[in-house]
Amino acid sequence: MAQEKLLSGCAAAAQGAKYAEVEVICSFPIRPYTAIMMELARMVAGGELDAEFLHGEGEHAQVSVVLGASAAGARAYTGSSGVGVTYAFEVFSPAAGGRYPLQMAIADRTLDPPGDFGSEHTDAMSARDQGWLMGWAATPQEVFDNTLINYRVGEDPKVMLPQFVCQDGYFLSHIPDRVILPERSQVREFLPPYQAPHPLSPVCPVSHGPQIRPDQGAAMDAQRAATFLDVPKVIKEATDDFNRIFGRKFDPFLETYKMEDAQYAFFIQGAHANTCKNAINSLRKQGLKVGMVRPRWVRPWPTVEIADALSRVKAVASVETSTSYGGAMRGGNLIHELRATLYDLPKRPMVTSFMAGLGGDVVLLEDFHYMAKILQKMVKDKKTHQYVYWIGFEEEKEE
Amino acid sequence: MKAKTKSRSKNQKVRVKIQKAKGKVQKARPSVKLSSQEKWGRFGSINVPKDREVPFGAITPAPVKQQELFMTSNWRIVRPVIDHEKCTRCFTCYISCPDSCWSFDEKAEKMEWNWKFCKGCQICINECPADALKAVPELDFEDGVVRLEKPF
Amino acid sequence: MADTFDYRKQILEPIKSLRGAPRDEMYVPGHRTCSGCGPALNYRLVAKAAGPHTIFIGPTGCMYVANSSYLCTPYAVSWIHSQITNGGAVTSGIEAAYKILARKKKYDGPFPNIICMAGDGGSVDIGLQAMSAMMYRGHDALFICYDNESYANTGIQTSPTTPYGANTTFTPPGKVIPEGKTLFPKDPPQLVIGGHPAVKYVATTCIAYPLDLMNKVRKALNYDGPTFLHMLTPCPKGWKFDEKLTREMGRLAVETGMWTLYEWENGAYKYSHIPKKYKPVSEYMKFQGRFTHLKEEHIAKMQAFVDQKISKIKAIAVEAPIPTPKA
Repeated sequence: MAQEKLLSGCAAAAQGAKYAEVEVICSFPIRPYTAIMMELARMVAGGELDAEFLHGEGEHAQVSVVLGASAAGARAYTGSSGVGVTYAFEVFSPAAGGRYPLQMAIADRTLDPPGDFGSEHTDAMSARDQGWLMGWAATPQEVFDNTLINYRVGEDPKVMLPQFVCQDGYFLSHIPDRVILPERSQVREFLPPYQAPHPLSPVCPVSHGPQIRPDQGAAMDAQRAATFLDVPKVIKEATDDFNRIFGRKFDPFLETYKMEDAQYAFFIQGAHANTCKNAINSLRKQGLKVGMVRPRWVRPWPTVEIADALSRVKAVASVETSTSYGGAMRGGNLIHELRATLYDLPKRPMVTSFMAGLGGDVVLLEDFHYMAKILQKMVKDKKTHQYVYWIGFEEEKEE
Repeated sequence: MKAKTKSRSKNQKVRVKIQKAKGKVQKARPSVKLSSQEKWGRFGSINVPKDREVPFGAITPAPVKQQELFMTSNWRIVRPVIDHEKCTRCFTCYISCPDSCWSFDEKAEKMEWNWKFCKGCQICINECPADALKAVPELDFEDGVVRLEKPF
Repeated sequence: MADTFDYRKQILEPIKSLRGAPRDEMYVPGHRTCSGCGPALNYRLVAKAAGPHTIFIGPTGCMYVANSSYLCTPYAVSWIHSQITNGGAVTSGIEAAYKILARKKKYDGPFPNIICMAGDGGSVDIGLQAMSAMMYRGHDALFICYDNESYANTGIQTSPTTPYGANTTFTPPGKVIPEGKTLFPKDPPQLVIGGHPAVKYVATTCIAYPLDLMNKVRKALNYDGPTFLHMLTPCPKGWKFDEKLTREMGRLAVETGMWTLYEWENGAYKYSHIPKKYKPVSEYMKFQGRFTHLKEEHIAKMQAFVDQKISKIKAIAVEAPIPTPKA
């Protein structure tokens, strides 16, 4: 029976895993994602979910365990946060290159040093080159939905890739909101059982991952890249199906807010987008035509869709909740991909970035108002004064 | 190609004539509208040639009796030669070979040697309790592997 | 989780003779291992004992790289590569998957033999965490530490099971460090026996005693729960001896006390072959180039270490050695 519940992002992720009928789960505690595992442990112990719940000895082991499980043909689920994600890093490429569609829920957390439980996207963003599907949710409902959509896309025979289902630590993982849980039959219609193409079988022997020569390595990389050319089609198909079965109206790749007549835009991912929408409402009351583009996928990056969405604005600000020290723009990493996306537009919008929400800091409505002010100034002066603005850490100017 | 341009110019000439006659200047036909994918999704295509293909997920089929893709017969410089009279069929050579090169032919009741994979390590020769095996230089045999294409 | 779940399992019968051993090879000819490779012979014997209903996990090492070059493997059974760090973890995942697939009736065959074939580094050094956790979690799988006493695949570097005084590329002898390796090795079976309550059976084997080896593999596989085998696999390249002496080195290791063949089952030790009189360790070391730089005092140190190990054994009842075939 479909029901509405008040769930935090972590609880929603656990419900998503339950409805997806995951078969092997590997846990290891680290804040803030631990709540997902605690919830799943309760479900398994109480019989609500029939799964093997393994206590991993570390995050590296977590991903390794679910890799083995996925290779043997079971739907596998794990998760982590912060330095746990970076500890597991070694196994990310083997999982993606081996084409094992396991899922890892990441409730992001600032990386050490030193300990900081607050959210920051850097942990998962630093793994974006490893060949996984990846995207951020903005609401607990989206966390639940993404869990199902990612399994559907990841397990598609044309795709067969592992997925990071990311959410902001604390802001999304621990703050409840309304979530509509569907009926089992709807989920079963949307998400067919996992069929590994060549599982590790005692009956049909196969060898997974023999040593290769360097020239074969190049071909392997090319084939992995070729898959990503096909993924957007699968995402579109899956999301359309999802909308049809569950009665939602998602755009597969982006959430756009008031972009129809926008002259300025915020490019933001994750839970702070909710604050952004409120800020847009108040900015519009002041007469500023501003909108928001929120990418729901980081990998594959929705190049075409973002270019389309921002083709008519005068200036766009990417809001960075992750760091890329020493990067081209000396700020975050969304800006690099955004600028590359917009480079070929005949009328390129001006682009700048704002570092906000780092370390788990709150992003205030005032911060968005400040960003809008800078965007207006840029357009007025016809000059991108700075590539990056570190909000709250700028030099005092005599004005 | 040339023919096309000729006809195109012919058409243009015709069009110009008409234009001149009518006294109007017609704008050139607008270019075909590009889709968003064509405009900003120019990722090219990736095509791995058949002879360079790596199987999906680097998953290969398991061999059955032998791995023919990795023959090691050209590694050896000696080969074990068996004296079937001395051989007691104790199976020591069979159990000592890392490359499973000795097997027992039930019909002939003799030990059989696999020339395709023997690396010439001589463990079997060293272990044979009946002294039935001896090492003979590979090049003494007609089917011995010729290791150098040109002698020094 | 599924401790009381009744899943069908094969019971492997003991092998009574070499002639009676299964003739089918599950580790087939056609691999890039060195001529005379001890680990390769060991793999062949383990695979033969385990039979066709098996899944192997291969952490990076010689038994991965040399076996599977290039894009082809000698495993006639299912096999998966794992990182050197996570052999135990990947094994656990596969075992858990089979448990749930059987429970959900998505798989209806007998429970497969799941064997992790890790080297000494992949068992007690970089792979120690994963190995220990697999033993702790009680998975029904076999963890094998094939011991060639070095990180051989990368060109012979020292590992925690490299003997004292061995010359490896990370412990070369020199003016300042005359013996080369100054540290004494870890004892992998004792690590497992010492603190893992779920472990049912631990044993050591040597390729020079193939029937003993194969039967121990079968015994380990028959147990429901995690089992551990520490298998001596002499390495001609790493230990620098003539490749035809691979089995001989194994025999000498046992005859000098450098290696002890035993089983540990439910708290009790059972020894498989105790020599009537131990040969001096120099008999073993003189064939191996990795020891030729050692002086009298170093060899004496090694002998003292071995004597101390042996002295602990004599107090315990010994079984008659397994008969070897007569010439």
